Amino acid sequence: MKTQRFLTIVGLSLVIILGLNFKQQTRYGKESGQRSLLPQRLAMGNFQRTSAKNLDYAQDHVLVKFKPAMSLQSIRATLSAYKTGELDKLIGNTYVLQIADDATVEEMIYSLKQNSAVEFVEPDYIARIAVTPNDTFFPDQWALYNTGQELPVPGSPTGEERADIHATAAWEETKGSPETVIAVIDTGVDMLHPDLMNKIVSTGWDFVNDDGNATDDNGHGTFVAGLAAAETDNGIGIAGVAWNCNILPIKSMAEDGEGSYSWVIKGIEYAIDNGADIINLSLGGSVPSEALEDAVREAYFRGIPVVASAGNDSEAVLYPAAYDAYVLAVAATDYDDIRPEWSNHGPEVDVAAPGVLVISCVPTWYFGPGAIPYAVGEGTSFSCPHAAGMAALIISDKPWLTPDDVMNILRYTADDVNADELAGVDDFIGYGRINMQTALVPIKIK
Amino acid sequence: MNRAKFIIPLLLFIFALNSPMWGQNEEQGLISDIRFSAGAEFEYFKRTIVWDEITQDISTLKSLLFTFLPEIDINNRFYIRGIIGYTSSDFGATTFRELPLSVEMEVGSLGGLLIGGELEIFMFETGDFEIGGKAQYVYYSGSEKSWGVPGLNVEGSVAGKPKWNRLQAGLTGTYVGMRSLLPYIFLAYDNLWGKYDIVQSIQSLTGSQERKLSSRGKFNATLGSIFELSERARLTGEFNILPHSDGIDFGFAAGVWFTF
Repeated sequence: MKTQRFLTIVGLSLVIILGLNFKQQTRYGKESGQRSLLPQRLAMGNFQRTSAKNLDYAQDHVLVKFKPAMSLQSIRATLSAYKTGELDKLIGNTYVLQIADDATVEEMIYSLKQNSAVEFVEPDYIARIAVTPNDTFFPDQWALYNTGQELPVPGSPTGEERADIHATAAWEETKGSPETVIAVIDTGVDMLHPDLMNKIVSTGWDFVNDDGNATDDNGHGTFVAGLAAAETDNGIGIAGVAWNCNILPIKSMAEDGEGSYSWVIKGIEYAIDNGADIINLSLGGSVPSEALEDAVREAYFRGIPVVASAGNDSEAVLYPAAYDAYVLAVAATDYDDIRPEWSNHGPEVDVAAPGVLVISCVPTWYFGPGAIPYAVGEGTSFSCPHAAGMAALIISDKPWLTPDDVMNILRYTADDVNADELAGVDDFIGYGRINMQTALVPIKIK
Repeated sequence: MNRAKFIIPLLLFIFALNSPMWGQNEEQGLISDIRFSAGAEFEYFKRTIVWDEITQDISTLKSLLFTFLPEIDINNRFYIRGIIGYTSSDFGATTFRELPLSVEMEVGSLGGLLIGGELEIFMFETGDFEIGGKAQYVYYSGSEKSWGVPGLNVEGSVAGKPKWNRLQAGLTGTYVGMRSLLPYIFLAYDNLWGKYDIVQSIQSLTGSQERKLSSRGKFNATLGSIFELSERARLTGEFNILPHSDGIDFGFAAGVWFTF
């Protein structure tokens, strides 16, 4: 990939970064001096993780609606017959009724249902807020939950509400399993990063320097790892798509963001042999290679889905993403669900995911001591881990699925966000922008 | 061994028919009187059902049964009834999470065939009460139905086919002190079990799941009555409850019978 737009940018501390004019050049190319400032935010508070699936209800009262013809006197007479009284009045003829001392909610409901004066009676169910992690920068993660909020770079427009991958609804269903491991084959991962240190399963392997320490000397791999599976609900930084899943760091790209195909192939082999359940390849080249195709084919036949970025040159899909039979190729969309023009295209594009102004982790050394190690970037490199994280949740939930199944779930559940111009599968965003809610939350059949 | 399974109940049956305990005249022989009847019944029942042993999800099964029941009355003591009919069953909201895409089925009533049989024996009388035993087994096989899967960017469907079995066996006590009204109570073991098969097909993405179900309540108390309209016609009506740890289920039935 030539033109990785790793617009780093950043901001974040009271102390910092205003003076930084960070530039980065990756193998993919583009340099950017653009800088953004993320507003410093306090922790959001400890919102309890909850699930709306549990049909809990209050044990000491029920909700009853009496028929409209019932007068207040008649209602009170009825209540006294049930040895109960009203606690509160809701809309119309609906009351909150105390449960009699010697009765249960179920008995009270059963009993009241027999009364012809009652229109309906039901438990007072407990509602819960949707899963909202308490990570400091979660409100900036429009890619996971787009409220139309202010984007994390000053001067940017606000996004379109719900132009996101619907992560919070999916987390109601599953947050993934620590047993599910995402291999991040990239520039390595900063294993000291506070949002990643507890998510790394091993020090991995560095095929650039041929040692057993895949630490990140570039920043790209840490950014990718953070998007896929940063530690979530830990009160700091960002939320990862694959909330509970873990990361296997593999370094196949050098400090300058470049790496030979052989390093990538070795990285894939290492991932296969070291327990990876999904492989993220936010990298690529414009030239096909039979050896590279063999490697992704091997992963596929060993039951490991491979997700790769399409590229950022507004040209043909790069390799290995272009190996259509074995790899899920991911293009980019933005905060309005619009494909940025630089996102590569072609029939191999399977899906799209947010890849513009997304916030993630950068190595702790990146901005120097005292800085908060998070930045904003863009590129299909960062679309890819959104899809990889979603695939990890699917595998956690349904480990029996084949790579084809997993890839098809990502494809078929995607939102065709450019349907107005190009209905159906197209060369630009494939089946559409991924949607975790459709893929993971049971679909109601009525 | 298999032959013994049939022979032993048959011998018990022959023995039972000849037993003087039933007050039957031995000189009458094994079968002295056979009559044929037919009934048409309507039944509704609600059962709290538990899905699978692991998930223990709960939903409510509501069923309407329309049945035709041919009856053989042997010696006015032993009744054999066949059951065939149409049943509509609503399983409530049930989630299938072992499909490639999980689905929550809330599809309302599913029609299907009902077949089964019933045996009833009057064993002895005490005062104005007649004590007996009754066992009924019915099997519901829902028609396979298919639904589209909404929210996808491709065509997809799920096809469902539910089945359940119900076994009731217990004692009956009938008050025979009134001329044409015969109220009775039936206290029985009552078990309902079955499964719901779902097949999902979304382009090349396919999968299937079977969920087993069983009723929460296992004890059934029924109050009913037979109204003898004439020597050849009678009406029946009954109401039953099944208490269990999550509440009380209930059912009711009504029928009309003709003797030939």
